[in-house]
Amino acid sequence: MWNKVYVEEALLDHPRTQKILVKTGRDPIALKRYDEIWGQSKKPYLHKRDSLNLFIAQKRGQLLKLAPDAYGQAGEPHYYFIHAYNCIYECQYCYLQGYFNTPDIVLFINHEEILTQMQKTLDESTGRVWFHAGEFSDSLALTHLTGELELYHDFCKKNPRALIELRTKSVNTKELLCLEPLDNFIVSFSLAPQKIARSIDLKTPSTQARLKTMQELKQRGYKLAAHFDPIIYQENFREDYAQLLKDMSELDLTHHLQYLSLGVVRFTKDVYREVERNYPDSLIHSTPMIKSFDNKVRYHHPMRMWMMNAVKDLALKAGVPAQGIYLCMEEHA
Amino acid sequence: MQLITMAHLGEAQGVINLFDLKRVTPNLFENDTLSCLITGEGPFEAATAVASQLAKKSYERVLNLGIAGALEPVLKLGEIYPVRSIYLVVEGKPQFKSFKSLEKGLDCITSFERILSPDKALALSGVAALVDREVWGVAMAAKSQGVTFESYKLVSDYAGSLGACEIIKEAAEEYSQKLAQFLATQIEHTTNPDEQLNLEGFHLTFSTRIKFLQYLKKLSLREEVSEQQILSNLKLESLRDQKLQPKERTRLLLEEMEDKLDPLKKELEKRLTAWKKPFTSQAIDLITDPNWESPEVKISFQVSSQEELAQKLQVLAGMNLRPYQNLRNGEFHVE
Repeated sequence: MWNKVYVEEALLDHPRTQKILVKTGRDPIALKRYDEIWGQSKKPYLHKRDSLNLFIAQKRGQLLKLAPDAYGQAGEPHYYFIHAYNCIYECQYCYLQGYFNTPDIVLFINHEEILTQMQKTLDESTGRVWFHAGEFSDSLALTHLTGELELYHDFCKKNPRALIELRTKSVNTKELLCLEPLDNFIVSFSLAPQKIARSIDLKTPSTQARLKTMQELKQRGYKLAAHFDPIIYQENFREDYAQLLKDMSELDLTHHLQYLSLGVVRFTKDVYREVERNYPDSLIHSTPMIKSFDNKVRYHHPMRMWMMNAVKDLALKAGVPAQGIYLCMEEHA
Repeated sequence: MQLITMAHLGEAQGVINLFDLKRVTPNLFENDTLSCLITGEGPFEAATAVASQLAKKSYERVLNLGIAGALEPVLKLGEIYPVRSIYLVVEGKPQFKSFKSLEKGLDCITSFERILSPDKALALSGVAALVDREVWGVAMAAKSQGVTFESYKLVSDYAGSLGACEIIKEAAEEYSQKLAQFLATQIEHTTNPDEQLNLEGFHLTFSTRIKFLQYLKKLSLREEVSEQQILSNLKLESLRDQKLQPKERTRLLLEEMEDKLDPLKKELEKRLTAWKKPFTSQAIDLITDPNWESPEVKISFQVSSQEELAQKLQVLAGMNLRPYQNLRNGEFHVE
């Protein structure tokens, strides 16, 4: 899987580094700082298919970032913490294509410092505070290598006011299942109808596999959420989402969702250009888009609202609690 | 005419002989279809030499051919690889700008200095599998002139290993011959035939042609059939049968394609026209954002008397924005 594994010199003997190196089976290349190499050259995104490098590093600078509006349910502060850059999956709409200059993955292993920052943020607040993982990388996909889940789980256990959301498309729950379920430790799955997921969420587990994993987690008592984001137009999108929700309902998932976010596909100009370059034959390009109110490239307003309303109605009919549905990254959210 | 760039005369000797190239200047050899430019080592030297040659003559393609060191021990000496992406390293630090050569192949990093130690080679091995001294400069010059660029590299040695220079010297003639033979296979490239679109009776300007091709592609992606099939399903014949100007026919064709691509377009336009009708019939224009992004409605009319103003204001007093807002918010039923 890995072309080369680079490790910051100061972290070479760190137990987490050692554990990762054993699991990858690669000899490390030492360097002072990961960004001496990582992101220095513009490396085409699709090179990740055959020359993906791994960097083990210390996160410096901002460890926690305030999430943009409509990132999560309204009314409470939302932050995301940065434990990694880039992802092993290849979703054709992924904004990481145009975000970093390289698809190479960085795993930050100074989790204690990230947690200290989270504690400080929580202590400065009086109500509940959300911390999201998975903004720059899938939050479960590499946990068998990284083994940091326990630390974040402990944080939630000690701090009932803190809520952690692990955003994922992965079914890699081995590490997670070692931890007891907590009300404030939520696993949220990004889902799409199988036909869309198969053609667009490349290298990810199938929708059926994700649903099966959700069912298993639910049965073990874990709190779950879902994201239907991005919703992409194709002729039978309503039937396909109805089927997805029916499948979820049959697994008794819809009633148990803590929340469900809905968002219609959208891109920054740069990401859209990358998507056109990397996936010229993607279904994404089959429906016209325009430059919208915030300069993002989207379907026109009636279309995206129509689609979002249609899927929202289907979700309500399938038993998703109304108060748990929120519209993501749209001006009406 | 194609421009072949090589770093050294020694490397180029096979090409010069095989293609019977004549010396035009100390560093340029030519026949009727090929120029071979000796760029020298170093990205700046190569960039300057290529840019200068491109300014003198028009070329369809710049093809860089030459030797490179392997940063991966699995690569085989004497093997020729297509180059995919090209990077630059300065004093051990990769530089931001990179160039694309071919869709598939190995990545190559151009270095100002020779990579003589294994540590330096190892550090660069995550960036690229090959290292050379000039291709980044050649790519920069070609790309900045908008000329198609390709590169192929023969692995001459393992970068950072002892005795690399000796290996290259010993095999110089053999490598030169190999590069020439390889070039012979590459210049037989055929050019892509022009796209054949039977659009007789339609008038496509540069921009409408682009639009037409984009729509054709989108429809082919949507319906998962070939573009040719989409084309045969369009009402080209029926449009040709109508007594229309070619421009108007093209407009209707594009409209037909837009209707197929945007499931809401027709319905939205119908309902918007119906909402505007009571006002347009009174010579009051309601101008809305054609992209539906802005919720604003601009109202425009002309009056020439107090009575006329009162009459228009009376019509406007009965105006209900809700139907327009509902349309904007997707609150309607479409099958």
